[in-house]
Amino acid sequence: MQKDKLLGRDGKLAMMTDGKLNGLLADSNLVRLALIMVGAFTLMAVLNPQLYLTVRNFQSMAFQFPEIGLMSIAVMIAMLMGGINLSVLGIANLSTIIAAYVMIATEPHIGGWGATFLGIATALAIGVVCGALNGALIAWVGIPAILATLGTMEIFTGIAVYITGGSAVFGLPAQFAYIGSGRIGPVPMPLIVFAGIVALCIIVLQRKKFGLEVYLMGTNQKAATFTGILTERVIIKAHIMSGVLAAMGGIIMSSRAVSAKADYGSSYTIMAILVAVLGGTNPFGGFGKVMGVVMSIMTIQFLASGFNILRVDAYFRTFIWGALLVAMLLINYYGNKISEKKQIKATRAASSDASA
Amino acid sequence: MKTALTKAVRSNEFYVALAVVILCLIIGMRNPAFFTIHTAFNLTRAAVVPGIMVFAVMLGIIAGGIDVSFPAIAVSSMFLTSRFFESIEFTGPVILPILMSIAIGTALGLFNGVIIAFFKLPAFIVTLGTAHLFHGVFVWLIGARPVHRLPPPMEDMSRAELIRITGEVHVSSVPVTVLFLLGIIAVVYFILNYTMLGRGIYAIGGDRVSAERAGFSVKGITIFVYAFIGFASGLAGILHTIHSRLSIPTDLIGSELLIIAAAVLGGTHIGGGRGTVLGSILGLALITIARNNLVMMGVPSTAQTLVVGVIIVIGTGISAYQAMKKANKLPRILEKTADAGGGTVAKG
Repeated sequence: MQKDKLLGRDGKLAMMTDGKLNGLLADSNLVRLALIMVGAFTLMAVLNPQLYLTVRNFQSMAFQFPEIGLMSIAVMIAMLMGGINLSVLGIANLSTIIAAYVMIATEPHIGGWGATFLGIATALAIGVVCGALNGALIAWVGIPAILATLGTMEIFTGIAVYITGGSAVFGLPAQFAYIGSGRIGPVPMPLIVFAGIVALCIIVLQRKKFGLEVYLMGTNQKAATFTGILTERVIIKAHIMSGVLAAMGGIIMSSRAVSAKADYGSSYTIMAILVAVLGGTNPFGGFGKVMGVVMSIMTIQFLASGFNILRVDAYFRTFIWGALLVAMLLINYYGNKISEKKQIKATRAASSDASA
Repeated sequence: MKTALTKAVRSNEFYVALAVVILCLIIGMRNPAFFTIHTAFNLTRAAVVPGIMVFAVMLGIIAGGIDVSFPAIAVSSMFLTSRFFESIEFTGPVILPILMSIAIGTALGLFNGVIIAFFKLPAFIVTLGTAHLFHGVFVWLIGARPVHRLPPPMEDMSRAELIRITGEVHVSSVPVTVLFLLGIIAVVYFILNYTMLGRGIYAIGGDRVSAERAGFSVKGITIFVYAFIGFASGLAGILHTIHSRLSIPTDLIGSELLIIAAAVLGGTHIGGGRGTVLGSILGLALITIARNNLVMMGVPSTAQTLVVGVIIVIGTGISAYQAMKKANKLPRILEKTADAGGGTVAKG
């Protein structure tokens, strides 16, 4: 039966073996991540079981990680195309600051819920605009992603600082706070929002044509162009998606603080890149799974909460994040080498099988 | 003669120089105090530490890698050094702390270089990791307590002046430390233009595989480049401490992107293979003036980040757009010939 499968129609042969092996390769990455995640959780649970294994701790973790999680997925999308998005935090803060002004202005007229919905819509719209600007600078002007988004990071943060004068915007509707600090039963709202968006991202990136185009562009942009993919349009669309995710992260962040400020989450840019790479996203493009990023952000949160309970020095934490990133790069390096060898062996076996 | 002139006008340096002149003129028109020797001296002082880092980072970018760990290396080496010399109540020659900081920086840079060269990993991501690793581990091990009183030799050096002019209003001076900046510029210029190593740096940034086939030791050159970045960062760090007469473990962190922007504004191609010392000097001037003198121009301090961002986008946008247009020309020519060929076949 196995042989029948391999001896299928000529053109299908390579594709089938390839598809299967790619699946295996990706899976081994995810398995590795799952093991690390469980390891991190177990370590922290063993070190401090009374405080760590409590409903309260789980809830507080579920409140904390979705905002960086969303920004990490935003970074990951840019990385899938071989680029990067350094402006995620700028987008998050700028969009929520403008949304905050909209909400404060409209709350007396349309009520708290109305203002909240309008605010969210505003934030997402700003995310679209910011993402489109990033995409246009990269695709149409031809600025490398790292520089374009470095510049726009300064621009978005700059606008945010300029319009707020650097201080926080308070007085948001109480209903808006529900997104960041509400609960349905025992489940925190941010987690529900996060799960919904993750599901959407998986569908868009891993089940739709658009997602395939993004991955293909990251693997080989020239080949993608010759396949007939409108690369410029894909870049802009993907950056719009990245911008919307960043704005969504910003909404949760400012909702938890019930205020908006230009410099909230100052370490998030670096953290988001760290989480994306830890999650197996290849910075050269083409590889990376949404689930990988989800597991990676949970690993980081398990560790961070554990460190909080253990009152670990902030610099030690910085050290651990750095060491983790470098270690993960090396693990992936060796992991990929082994999978590559397997792949070559399997392809050879398949071709000898086919010729026989 | 004419070709030399048109070549100069078309070069990237020309546009950056133009931008610097225009910026100076605008600031000068708004505030005549800008065109004084005092401002020039202050800008020189402000450019020393970022300048040393700009030229080191430029070398990395030309070789095809973006290092973001240099502020962490700088701050780790200077903090470790100043804490050590504080604890032994040092009174010897000031060159010792400087050498120690440079040695630590070089060692950390070597670490980066080895990982990047042997595992063929993207420098940006590796150095993002090592930046956290270095900064975290050193400050964690020795504690975050800042050094408020530097050892006397370092204090003395902070007051050492190269040129001093007593004017009616201010006393203006250029610190001795500017010599280190000039030294680094000279070394980088020499390496890039007069050595095989410099050719190799351009070569591996332009095309790694071709460079390898041409016989360049890609690993060796890569390791040298990152060790040199570490070397310069260690120097920049200790000079920063000497300038500010304080050693604070959170200083400099966060300046990495602006430094990279200065190098890139000066025409260093972010993809590697291209970049000149002159261009980076101009990029450094642009960023230093924009950072330090926007207030003189009447730009409110809250709008400064925005203005710097706009300068980065426009500055990099112009050269990127030109490069893209140039790259697009070739396929278009190919298309035309293909069309023509198709036409004759159809006719035949």
